[in-house]
Amino acid sequence: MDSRENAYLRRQRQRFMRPDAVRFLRLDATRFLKPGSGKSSVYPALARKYEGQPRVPEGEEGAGQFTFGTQDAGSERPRVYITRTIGNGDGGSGDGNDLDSFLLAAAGPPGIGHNQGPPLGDPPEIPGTKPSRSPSTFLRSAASWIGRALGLGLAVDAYFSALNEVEWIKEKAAEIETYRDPARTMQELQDAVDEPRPGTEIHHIAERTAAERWGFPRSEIESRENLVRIPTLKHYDITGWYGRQNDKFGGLSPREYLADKGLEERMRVGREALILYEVLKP
Amino acid sequence: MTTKDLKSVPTEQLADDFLALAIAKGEAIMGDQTAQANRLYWRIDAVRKELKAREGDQRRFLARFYSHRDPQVRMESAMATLAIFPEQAREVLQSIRDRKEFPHAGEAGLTLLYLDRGEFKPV
Repeated sequence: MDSRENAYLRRQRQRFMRPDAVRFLRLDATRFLKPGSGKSSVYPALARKYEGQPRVPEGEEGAGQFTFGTQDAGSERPRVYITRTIGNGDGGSGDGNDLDSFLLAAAGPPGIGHNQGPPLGDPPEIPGTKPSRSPSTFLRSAASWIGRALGLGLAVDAYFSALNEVEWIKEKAAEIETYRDPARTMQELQDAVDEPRPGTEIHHIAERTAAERWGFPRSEIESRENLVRIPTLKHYDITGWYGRQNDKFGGLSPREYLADKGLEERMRVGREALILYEVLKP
Repeated sequence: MTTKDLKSVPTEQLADDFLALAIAKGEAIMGDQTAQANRLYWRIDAVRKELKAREGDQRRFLARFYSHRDPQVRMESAMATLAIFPEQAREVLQSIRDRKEFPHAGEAGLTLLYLDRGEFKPV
């Protein structure tokens, strides 16, 4: 046996001697064993895992399968917490309330979002009539879902068709479309000010109303440097962000924080918001 | 609920209240209801402060919401635990950003930016 093979075997042995070795065991490991033998009899080090280990309750997805612990109430799949096992070999309580626990894996089969947060989920339900309050809630949810679905390579044609069947949404289709616009350069955003486009609005990098209140001259507020054309819903997003209390500003809203700041600081914060909301290229 | 009232609430219940408030705040943000979102900010802040004041800093209970399906819940739990689980909480924020869960992705990105520049020091 050459040294490379030795190194390989040493690595495999190390993996299965780790306290969290179960992570490396294929769910269908018994396929490779002699008929009738069980995983725990062949891998005694892992027997502890299966003794008294809970299973996914009846009626839930993956019912009957072993799970590491309790299901997170908010997730669609049995997402579980196990105790940090590095070095101590402790299997942990796995009750999800264990204060030394951290999220490690989904007990269900890997799906969209596996190890990248929760799965995509179903598309937002389409309201047949325009909601009397906050129709942008649906438009945002739909645009965000479509963007993420497309990012994952999913076909969303059927959902688009369903949206186009609803009259009030048809009128707002441009807003859904532009919400997924890629980030552009400052020059492109500024040049677009003179080119009206459905689903977009003029945005002041340094907020207009706040700047007016502070007494900035109108020539500065309405200057070419301060105006960009951006997607309507992103405009709402950024305006909302300016108005919300924020930990980063000591509980003030960005608007309150900027209240006594000069135009330069307002422009800096405004540009950062455009970049982080993926309107402006960094 | 006043601060005095919160003192008598069990930690588990406070975590549940936090979840409900975060969901409501997410709905307010999605619906452009800024005033409502701000009211909920202070209620969430009161819960965070109460949990922090408890022996052993019980904000750690909020880490259970790191994988919640609602991005606002993930974001609030990450923000509340940045001081005690900085790496994991940052991962949650980064994941919201990477998944482009707007509008939350914008705020998550700005938080990460301010953390990187040292302009925001969670306590």
